[in-house]
Amino acid sequence: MDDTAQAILRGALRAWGTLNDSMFLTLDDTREATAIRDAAGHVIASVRRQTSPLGWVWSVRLGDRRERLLPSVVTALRYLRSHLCPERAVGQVLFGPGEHP
Amino acid sequence: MNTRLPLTVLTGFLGSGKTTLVRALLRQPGFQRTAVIINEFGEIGLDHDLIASSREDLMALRTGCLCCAMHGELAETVQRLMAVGGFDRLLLETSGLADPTPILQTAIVDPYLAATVDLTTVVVTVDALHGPPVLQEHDAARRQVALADRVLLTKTDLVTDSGAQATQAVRALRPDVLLSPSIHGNVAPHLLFTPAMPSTDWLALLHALPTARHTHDATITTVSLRLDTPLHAVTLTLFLQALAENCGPDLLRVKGLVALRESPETPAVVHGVQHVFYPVTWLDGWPSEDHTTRLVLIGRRFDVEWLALLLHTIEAEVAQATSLP
Repeated sequence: MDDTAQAILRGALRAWGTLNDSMFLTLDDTREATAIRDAAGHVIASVRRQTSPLGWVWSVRLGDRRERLLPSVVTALRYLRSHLCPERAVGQVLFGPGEHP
Repeated sequence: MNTRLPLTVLTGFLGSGKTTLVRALLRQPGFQRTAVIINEFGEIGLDHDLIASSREDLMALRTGCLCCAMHGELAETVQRLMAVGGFDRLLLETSGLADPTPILQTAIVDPYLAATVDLTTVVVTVDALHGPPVLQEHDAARRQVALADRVLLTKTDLVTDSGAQATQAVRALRPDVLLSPSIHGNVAPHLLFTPAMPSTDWLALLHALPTARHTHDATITTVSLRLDTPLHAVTLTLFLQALAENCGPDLLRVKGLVALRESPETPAVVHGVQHVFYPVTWLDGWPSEDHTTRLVLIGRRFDVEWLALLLHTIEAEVAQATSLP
């Protein structure tokens, strides 16, 4: 079990306003991944972090879909959020032009 | 050299004393050569009738809530004022119901405004009498305080505790913000027109912030992150993006002085309103012996341990990727 991955997911669900409301975390059946469950206890996503030739990658399986490998924590959270909380408003970083645009 | 006009945004909840403050300031010699933009909410504007000015052409009046109809109106208003000329600073008084966020974002990203005005400071009036319950009950009031550089405590002469309760209510949201009293609008103009926290002085106030604040509710809080080792530059942009994406509208303001591996002796200054950021600037050197990265985040539902872990995880991933053979 990867404590960092689980803590990242727990904080993300909390930031999205879903932890202990419509979703909660457990270990999945293999006890190697973190399962995100809905209020009824069904696994809606399974997430684990693993090493690869490119460094850390995040393995995410949504329901019965095929597992996907995401290259970073940022992309993994983006993928999860877009499926689990598609209605949540998302900001895109924008830099102002400054004094001399 | 900065040739832009300083812009002060004056906001505060309904009845908190903004117009009284502007009326009093207009009578002071130190307030000369200031153009005032008043944004009123409602079909019948009254505030401008309550303010007497010797230079009516330096007062732009708008109806409607500026934060709801920002598209180009602020830039157009400033353009009209610039055509008149004869002033060297701007004061924008918002509606008491306005969320200052889109106003500040517009000042940052609009090409004309970005080239013309320098958003110097955000001043928020808080009524010592009604402020505590207002801050408890109205999200708009909390958001205004969350975005403040300076809070002016008004009507302290009407309460028996000299504003102690109001101070406590403000400090609960923003332990780092500067607080000054303002009775009957009597306040020195420089409090509105000089940066509340010049350059990076606000970082000194970080020491007053709890470093392990752990908040999960919807209350606006201020948290700080500190890192001893420099970050990769790309980590900074990825972290800002992760904040914007995952915190969404709960993210209100970000300020930071960041040590980057690419330029460890010239710290980067980060300053943003929600997901909109000023261009990152670099100081010539560190302002003190403290060379650590310090980030201040203001918003809702913040879990400082998660934010720190997210930043560390992004940095670890970037470090791993960039060290590959």
